[in-house]
Amino acid sequence: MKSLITALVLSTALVAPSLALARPVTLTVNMADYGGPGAYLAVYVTDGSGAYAGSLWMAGGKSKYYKHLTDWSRLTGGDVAQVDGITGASVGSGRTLTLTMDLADALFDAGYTLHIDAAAEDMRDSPNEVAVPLTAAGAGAAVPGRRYIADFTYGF
Amino acid sequence: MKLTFALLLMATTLGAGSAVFAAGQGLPLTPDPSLAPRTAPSAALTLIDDGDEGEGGWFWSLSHDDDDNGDDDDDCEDEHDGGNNCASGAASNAAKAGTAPPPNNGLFTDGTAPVVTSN
Repeated sequence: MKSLITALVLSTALVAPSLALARPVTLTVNMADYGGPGAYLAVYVTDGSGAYAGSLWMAGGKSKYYKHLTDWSRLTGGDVAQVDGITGASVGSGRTLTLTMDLADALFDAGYTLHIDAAAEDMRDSPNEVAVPLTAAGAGAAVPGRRYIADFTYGF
Repeated sequence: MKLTFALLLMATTLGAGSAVFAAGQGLPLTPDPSLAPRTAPSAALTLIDDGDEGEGGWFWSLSHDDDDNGDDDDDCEDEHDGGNNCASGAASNAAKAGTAPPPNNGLFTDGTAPVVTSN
C-alpha cells in the first residue's frame, strides 16, 4: 500500500508541473469587410528583442504567396517548415477564424508579442496587421487590425 | 517647239503649286508637337498589370483561386507562375494541419495541435 501511495505521489509530482507549463488559449480573428477574396494570415510570435520565436498558424496553403506576408517572410526566410502542421485555409472577408491551442505558459508576461501579417489577392500587403503583447492582463481585450482584420482577441 | 515649251511651263507650274500647297497645308514632315505627351506605357505599369509575381510588390493575383474560404491547395492551376508548379511547387507547400505534427518550436505543448474553426 505504501509503495502504491508513493508511486501515486511521485507520478503526480511529475505530471503536475508539465500541466502548469501550458494553458489552452483561444485566438479569435474577426476579418473586416474588405471586399476581396480570402486573405492569407501569418500568426507568429517574437520575443522581447524582436527576434522571431515561432509561428502559431498560417491561413493559406500556397507557399508561393507567403512572400506577401512580408514580415513573417523576412523573419523566417520564407521557411515553409515553420508552418508545417499548422496551416489551413485562407480567411474570407467578414469571416471569423478561431484557433484553440495549448500554448506554453512562458509566453505570457515575458515580453513576447503576437503578430499577424495579412495579404489578399490584388490588394496591398499588410505586414504587422496586428501586434499585441502576450500578457495575462491583455486576455479578452480586442485589438483592432489595420486593413483586413477588424479585431483580434486572445483568451484563456 | 512651242508645244514643248508650253508643256514644260505647265509641268513646272503644277509642280511649284504642289510644293507651295504641301508647305502650307499639306502633311508636315516633322512630328506634331501635340503628340509629344503620348509616351509609351512605362514598365512599372506593365508590371502591375502582370500581377507582380516576380517582385513581391503590393499587388498580387491568383486569378483562378477565387474562393473566400480556403480550398486553395491546387498549385497546378495558377497561370502566373511562368512555370509548372505541379512538379516542384506543390511539394514545397506546408503540411496542412492534421496531416503532420506542429513544429517543435517551443510554443506548443508537445503533441498538441491547434484546433481551427472558421465560419
